[in-house]
Amino acid sequence: MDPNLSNVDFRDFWQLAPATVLSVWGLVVLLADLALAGRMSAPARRRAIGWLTLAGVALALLAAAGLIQVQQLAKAETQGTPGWLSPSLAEYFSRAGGAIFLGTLSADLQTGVLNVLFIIMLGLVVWQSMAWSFTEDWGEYFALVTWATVGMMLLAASEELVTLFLTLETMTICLYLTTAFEKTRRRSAEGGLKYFVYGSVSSALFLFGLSLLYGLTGTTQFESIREVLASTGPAARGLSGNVTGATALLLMLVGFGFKIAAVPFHQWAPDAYEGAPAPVTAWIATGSKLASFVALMKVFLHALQPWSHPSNELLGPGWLGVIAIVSAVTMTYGNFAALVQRNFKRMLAYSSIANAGYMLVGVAAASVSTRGAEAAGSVLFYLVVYAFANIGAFAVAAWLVRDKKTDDIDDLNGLGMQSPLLAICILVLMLSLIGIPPFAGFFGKLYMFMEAINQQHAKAWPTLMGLVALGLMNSVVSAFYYVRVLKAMFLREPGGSRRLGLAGGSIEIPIVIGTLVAIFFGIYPGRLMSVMQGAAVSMLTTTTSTSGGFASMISAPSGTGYAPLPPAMASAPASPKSTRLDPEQAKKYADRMKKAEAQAKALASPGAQPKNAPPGEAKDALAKKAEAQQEDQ
Amino acid sequence: MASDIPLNWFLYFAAASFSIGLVGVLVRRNAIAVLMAIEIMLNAANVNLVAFWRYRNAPPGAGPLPGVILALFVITVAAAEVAVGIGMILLCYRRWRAADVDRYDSMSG
Amino acid sequence: MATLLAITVLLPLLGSLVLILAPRLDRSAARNIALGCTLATMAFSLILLASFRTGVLTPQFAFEPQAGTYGLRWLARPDIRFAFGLDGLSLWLFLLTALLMITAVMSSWEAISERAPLYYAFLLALETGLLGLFASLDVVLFYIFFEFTLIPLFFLIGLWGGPERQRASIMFFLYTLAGSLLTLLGVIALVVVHYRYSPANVLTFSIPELTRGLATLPWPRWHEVGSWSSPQVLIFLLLLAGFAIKVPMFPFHTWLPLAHVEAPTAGSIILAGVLLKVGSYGLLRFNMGMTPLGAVSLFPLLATLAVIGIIYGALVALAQTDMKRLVAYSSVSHMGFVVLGMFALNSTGLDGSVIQMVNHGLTTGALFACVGVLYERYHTREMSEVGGIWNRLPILAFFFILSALGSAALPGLNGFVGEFPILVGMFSESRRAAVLGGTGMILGACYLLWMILKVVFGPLREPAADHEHAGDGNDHAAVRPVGWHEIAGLAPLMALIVLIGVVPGPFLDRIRPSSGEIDKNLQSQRGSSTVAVATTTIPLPNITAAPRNALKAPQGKRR
Repeated sequence: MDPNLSNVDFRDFWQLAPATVLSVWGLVVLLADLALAGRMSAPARRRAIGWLTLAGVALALLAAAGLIQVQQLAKAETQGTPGWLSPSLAEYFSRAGGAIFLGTLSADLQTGVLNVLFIIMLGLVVWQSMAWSFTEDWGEYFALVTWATVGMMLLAASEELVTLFLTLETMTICLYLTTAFEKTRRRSAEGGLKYFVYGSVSSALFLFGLSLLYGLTGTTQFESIREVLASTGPAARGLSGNVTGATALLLMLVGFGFKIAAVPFHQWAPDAYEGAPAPVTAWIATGSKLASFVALMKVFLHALQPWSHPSNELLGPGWLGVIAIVSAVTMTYGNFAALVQRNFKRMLAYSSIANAGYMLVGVAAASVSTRGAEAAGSVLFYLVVYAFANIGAFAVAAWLVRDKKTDDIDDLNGLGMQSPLLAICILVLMLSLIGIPPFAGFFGKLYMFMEAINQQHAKAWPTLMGLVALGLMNSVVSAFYYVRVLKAMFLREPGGSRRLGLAGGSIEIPIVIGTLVAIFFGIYPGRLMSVMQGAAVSMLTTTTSTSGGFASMISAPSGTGYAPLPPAMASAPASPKSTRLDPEQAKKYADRMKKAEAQAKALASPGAQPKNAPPGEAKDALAKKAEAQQEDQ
Repeated sequence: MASDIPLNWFLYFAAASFSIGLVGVLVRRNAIAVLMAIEIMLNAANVNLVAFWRYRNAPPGAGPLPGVILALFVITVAAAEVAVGIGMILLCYRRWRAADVDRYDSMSG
Repeated sequence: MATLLAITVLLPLLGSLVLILAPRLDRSAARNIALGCTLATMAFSLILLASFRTGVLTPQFAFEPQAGTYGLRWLARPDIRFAFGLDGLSLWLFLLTALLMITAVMSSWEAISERAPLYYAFLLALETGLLGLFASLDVVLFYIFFEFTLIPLFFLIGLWGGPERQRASIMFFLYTLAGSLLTLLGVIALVVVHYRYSPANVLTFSIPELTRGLATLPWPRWHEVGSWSSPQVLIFLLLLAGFAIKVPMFPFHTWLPLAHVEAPTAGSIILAGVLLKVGSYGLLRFNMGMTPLGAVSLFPLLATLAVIGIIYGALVALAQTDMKRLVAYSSVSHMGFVVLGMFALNSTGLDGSVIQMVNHGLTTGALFACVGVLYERYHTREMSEVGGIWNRLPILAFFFILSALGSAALPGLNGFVGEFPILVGMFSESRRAAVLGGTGMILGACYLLWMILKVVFGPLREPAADHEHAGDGNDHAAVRPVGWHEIAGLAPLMALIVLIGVVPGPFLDRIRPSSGEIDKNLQSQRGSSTVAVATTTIPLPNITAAPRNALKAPQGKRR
């Protein structure tokens, strides 16, 4: 066995505080429900348990925000260590960063930011769930939703394949169950079963691909997979002639394709989305998608990056061509299929498929690129904006189901006259989803497509340009079905026997928050963008000699007073990631960093450096990170 | 890592059983049979993982979790999936009085 | 002044927010707020006009923290700026917007009774969109306003329009959105090309900087003249997609009649008066200004389309019996002139084109307003059911005649000042196109006079008994006289129709520096080599390197 296994630093558990809080809170909710079961009616229990869950969410949010705060405080050594932190913890936090638990999970800016986002979105989903009684088993329901979130948080933080697979399963198994939770409806059980069958088949495919990749590289750690792949054979060969590698890659792509609902692995999505209770659908469409995309980017842009191999032949010897084709087909199919839908949730399902296609454009761009982190950051930005808009949209679906028992687009007829303010909010959400300025969706698309066009790689440029053009045309197509929602709300008279009642807080809040996010980040997208790019940098941690622009960012000169650790401490097992490198490896790594730095200097000469370098803060953070990494050697 | 059985044999076996599982998922209409086929696929991956763990040297920086650990976890995951799957199938069976996946078609489009 | 410009642009939006958020406004309060807002905006615009320096190329009233950099930083990266400024191309359109908005509010004075606050809120939001669009000095900001105008107009047509309003609003929305996304792609491509191939690798979104930088881009293939594979031509076509739909140019005009007919009067005024100009302004700013080679390479095609548009629009207009539809098709025809003037590729044509945009805004806006006034009284837009208003509503009849004559380019009125230079400019380029365009002018006179003859002079007709409006007290009296608000809305337009016709000098002086720059870029593109575009399928003569001093050059070397 690995002798280093004893090196687990138990202080690492502090970094998991948000996930721990949520896991424990799931149990608390379950117990509370058990205690209340006999005494309260289901609707009363719904409210009580819902508020209890929200309290847990607030606690987790506090933990996540506090964690970021502590990390920042401990890092900012100018102020000295905060007194309330025990010395050992202060020392831990001041040098922690990168990876925890022997490099299986990451604990950095990316994790922190994503944790906060997941928890906020969970809060909205939980709130939305309190709108009406679609089940009686509230304890189980809320516990499962909470645990699914734990899965998402850890999935987005995972740094190696075993953790990735386990957290992926944690997330999806909880989601299968919640999908089938609306027991009074046939379609819920059916949607759940379909989701389950497709999901577990895709997990099996993914696992088989994973096992082959493990066989090829002998490791499950992203970073060392990357190193092994980069060191074996010339980069130009890629996957041609490497049947095992190609199979592994395709199988993993299929697995992720299922999770993010990319064509042709999307068949489960419309049924699961339509069948599941609206809040669960919202959670599948947003949280699960966000986490899966982060995992996909980590695996493909970090671990498998050496295999991307852009070439001008569409089906060149790498995965870029495959991703490009999947992306093109996904957005086109999703949009055209959405055109004919009558059911609001089903329409959103196809729109979510189409959006996965747009985001794959960003992934393709990030893989080619000299600006991988920016492109990946733009994908994250898009994901966040999309997620909030979608949670709002599914709250509308929840409203329809609650009051009208059906959720067709026609059920929205005349909403503009009934409750104008909410209708305007929905209008904003839809316009943001189409990508019309000045709403956040526009900037999501703008950033992503600009990154895609702005790649320096001459061979991949035509492919990416084509994808962007296709994406924009698809936005037009998407306008047709989103406009149908607007048409129903504003241009038609209310009809039908049942009227929509007052929305109530649990439906209003997600809609309004989604709207505010769409407006705020439409007017002021800069801040979120730089946070997301910072997150993307730490998501794709460690540089390679092949990516000049990225390296130049990492080793950009810093003006901060970051004091390097004393040598004694630096030689201590600072980051498990680096302790596991033997001296030879470490030397190689240090050489690479030097090379990257030299490259960066070359790039910094006028004319070669990209003018839109990151703003001061992000740059400093990057520089700090680079220094820390070098220090670790 | 001298061994009586070459690594390839394990791989062929795993690939074969994986294919059997995949075909089973695609061909069988009975939900329980589909579930079993999924289990076969998961176990095929397990065979791969354990074989690779036994026959391959880990490169430096390989991380703390070798394939055999994942295989152990996969067994757990498979158990969880079966539990969930059986529950779902029962739920559907109660509504449709059939365990045939083709029958569950209340939604389309 | 920079602050004043920003205030002018954002003031209507403020009014719009007040109208939406203020509780329980009644109709008269709403329209008073709207009127106040538009009047204040107009007043500010006039101050801007008064302090506009003639003969300056650089954008004026722009906040300029460093030389050559305009506006406040909005996003750090990429460097998108919140930059406003006016130059010769945008100044008059900016003022036109401010002016026509007053007319729009006035013409809605009595017509709009349902949900008036919301209506005026959309109208004011639309004003901000348009003013911001013309004042933007940043391509992203321009695009944002460009798209933003869709939303209020979608609702104005969809909620307060005629019987087919749903179809009209959705068709309008989707049609323009489809084009504008291609334009977005073109705009991004422009920025990226400038970033990658400019000597200093500047990633800029600033319109003046891009215009300057792209003209001197040292990228060999960017300058390849006459080659269809040149990226300039490709980008030109992408940009064209959105603008051609807005203008609308000939094969893309199908959304326009429907939208015009269904829109409420104010919507038609703004749509025809300002929104179509957005398309031609974009063509001028982006297609001509930033991809001059594309313009030079493709001009035979575009000039042909413009001529087809002129004649087709005029012929279809001749066949109309519905006044609004007639004016709508006349817009297709007259906007054809605007495009034709641009693709004359010389300064005469360009000047004519810019001034013609303003003229068309004034005359068509006025015509739509007149038709709206009539519709309020007769509840029909059929020419055969309205007649003899000269005897009934003399002031309106006078306005109607004046704007129709202005539109028909009677010498001494504004239309002539625009269309004549366009034809002269085109004549030096292609005689055939100029002659065909001239035919359009004659046809224009025909249908406009035909309409005047029937509506203004024919036998007096009273409004048909209208059950739908029988409840309205006013309608029992045969015809309500023209109200003060209708006169107030139309009179400034009339004054300008005459003024531009009589003294065009001050107007043209302010346009010239900017149009001159575009002309300079175009000429440098043409001067660099001869253009050899296969014209076998295009019924226009090849252009040659003829002297570009158009006014005296019909005798240039020609095939």
